[in-house]
Amino acid sequence: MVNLGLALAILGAALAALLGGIGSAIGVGLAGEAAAGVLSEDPGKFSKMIILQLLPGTQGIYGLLTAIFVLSQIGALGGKPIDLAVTKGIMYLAACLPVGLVGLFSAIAQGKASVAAIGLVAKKPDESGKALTIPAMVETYAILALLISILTIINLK
Amino acid sequence: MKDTAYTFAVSRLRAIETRLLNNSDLEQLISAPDYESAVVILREKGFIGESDDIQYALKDQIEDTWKLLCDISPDTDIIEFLVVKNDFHNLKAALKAFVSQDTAANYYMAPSVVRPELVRVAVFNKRFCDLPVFLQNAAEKTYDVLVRTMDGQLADIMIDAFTLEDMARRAELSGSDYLRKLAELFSVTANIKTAFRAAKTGKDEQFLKTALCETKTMNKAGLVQAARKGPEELLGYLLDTSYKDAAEAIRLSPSAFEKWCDDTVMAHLNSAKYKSFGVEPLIAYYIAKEREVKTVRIILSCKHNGFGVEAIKERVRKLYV
Repeated sequence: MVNLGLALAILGAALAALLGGIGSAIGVGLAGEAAAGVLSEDPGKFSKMIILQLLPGTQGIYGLLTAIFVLSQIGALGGKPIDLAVTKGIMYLAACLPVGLVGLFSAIAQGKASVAAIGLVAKKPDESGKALTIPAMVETYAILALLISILTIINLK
Repeated sequence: MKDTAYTFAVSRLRAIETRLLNNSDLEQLISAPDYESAVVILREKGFIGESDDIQYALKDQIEDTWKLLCDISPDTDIIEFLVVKNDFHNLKAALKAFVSQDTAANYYMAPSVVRPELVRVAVFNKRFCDLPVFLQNAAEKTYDVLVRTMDGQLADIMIDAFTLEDMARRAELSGSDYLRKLAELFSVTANIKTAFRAAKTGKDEQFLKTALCETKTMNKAGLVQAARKGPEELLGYLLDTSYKDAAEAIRLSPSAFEKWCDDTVMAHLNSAKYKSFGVEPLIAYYIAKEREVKTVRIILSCKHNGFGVEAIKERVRKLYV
């Protein structure tokens, strides 16, 4: 049963990277479409658009970070995986769920908020500071989920 | 089609919307001392080019807007709702041209779903099957009535009713509540206009039944009965509906009523300003552009005819921006 525990921990790491990555890809893609729409009419807004487009990309990074943490703790990165009980494996899997699931949904929601903010900047370029704040609010929940996942993983060692 | 499919199109339009005329631009235009000064203001704002043919320049703006929407919309079927009225107008023009054997091409309107020439040739050859399905029934029925009665007004009201029915059908097919409400507003305002004119000219019940279309928010039978009795009864009927503002506008003046119709539609269009996804901002932008051009035409025409500032303000419509 040692291998099953390890497999569950790796599954957790994979889910953290996978769900966060999928969410970010969708969010950044949506915001990218909107940014391209504005830039096709006003290329001078590139710097403002790129920040808004990148905002939903952080969830993918949080997922990656969490996955690296898990893989590092179970020794998978060094090529010498440790023996892991099934219960411990389940714990690692559970610890990865907050950052994975919250990452998936918050990145999509943040992508939509970024699209709305891009529309705002397109109409009122002087309000780009406020426009940046709106999608950034969604980030709070991704950070909270990352915090819970990382704290749990650290304490599992 | 998912709403997110329109993300690029909506954002592009948000950038373009900044070039629409705003209320202070209109104030400036209205305050211009004469027609020439108003044209100079429009040129300075880049609204029209250097062309001397202002009417052509304004018409060009609508066609360019339609081409833009066709380029950026992921689904062109749904936006055909916007120009289908021009197809029915072209059918009307072709039928009348056929009856009077007039081959002039300047009666036709663009943009349209079907090329005006195709409609003209189909009508002149009586090959209605060459027309798209949505025009076939209207063409056949109106052609029969027109050659039998030679009543141009009857043909007009028949095609107007077919137009509104087709717009309502397209709105229903789109699944968009926004389009449904818009189609309903078009039908209701057209019904009130027709009913009032019919009441004033003493048209019979049969005419009213043919001319008015079914709507969800106003009972057709009630409107027919009220219009049959006369203008005052019609206004009394309207006061009991959710369109009582229309009755008050009619009492003021015909132009106040026209303005009420346009402003009512614009109030509904404004809800699209806050949408980042979906077809709604595309629909709103096209109609806003049409309104903008219409408003500029009104102001220029008033300036040309020496109207005062107050008289112009009464006729100017609310803008989308």
